[in-house]
Amino acid sequence: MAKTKKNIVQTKNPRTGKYVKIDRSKGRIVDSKKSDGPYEGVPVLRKRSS
Amino acid sequence: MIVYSPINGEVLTDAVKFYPRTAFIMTQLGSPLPEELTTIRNGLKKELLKFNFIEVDASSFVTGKDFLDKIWKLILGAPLGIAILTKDMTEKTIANIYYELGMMDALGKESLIVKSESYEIPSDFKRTEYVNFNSSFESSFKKFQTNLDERESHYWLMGELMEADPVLAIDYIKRAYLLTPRGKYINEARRLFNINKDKIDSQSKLHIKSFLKYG
Repeated sequence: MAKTKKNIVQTKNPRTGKYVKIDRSKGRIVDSKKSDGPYEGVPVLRKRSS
Repeated sequence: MIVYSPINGEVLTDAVKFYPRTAFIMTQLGSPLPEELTTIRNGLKKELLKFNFIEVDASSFVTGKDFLDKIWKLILGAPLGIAILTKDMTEKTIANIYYELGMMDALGKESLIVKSESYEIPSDFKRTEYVNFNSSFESSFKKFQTNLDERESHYWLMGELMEADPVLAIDYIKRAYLLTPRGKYINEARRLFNINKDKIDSQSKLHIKSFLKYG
């Protein structure tokens, strides 16, 4: 369970201004936020690491 | 990655030609054109040039093929579509423009409506970004361009976050490349393709290879 959570991140979609939650281990968008602001407790990624 | 032809409903099995940093203009063509439309088109052209975008429309290329086929291929290859809408246009022209806008959305392209102030957008297109052609057009268009830069950066990031599904990751990187054709995008897409090619289906390979040719 903890391992799965580690792979869940979020980033802001600039087209909508809303956050999307991504499961990196599967390469899947798992949720899209309807309201403003980020998901609680999910790391926010703004830029690519490399 | 499957793309269906709007001409015959079959799967596209040809290589796609890409047009990075190109805006496909959807509007009334030919002559005579309403004066307001000519003014908007000229103003838009000036702004696109400022941001190094090439402008094309359905009359830019002569292919000898079906007109819809040509439009569809242009939409497939370009990153951005801009519709110009004014009250003076005929219903037939407006219907064609909305069809093309729908196609852009379905194919994951960026789109923008530039309209005269008095023109009202139908409800299904309320989420499509629009700017009025008025005294603040220049600053509105600049804001849109800034947002396009953010989208490019978002697609590049998504290319990393979606790596577990290489076809999706490469497609995101391709979208970043079409907005600004940087060599690092092609290099990364090629790296992902090379390490995953055994698990990528043949249809996706065809699309990816036609993109990698631009490196």
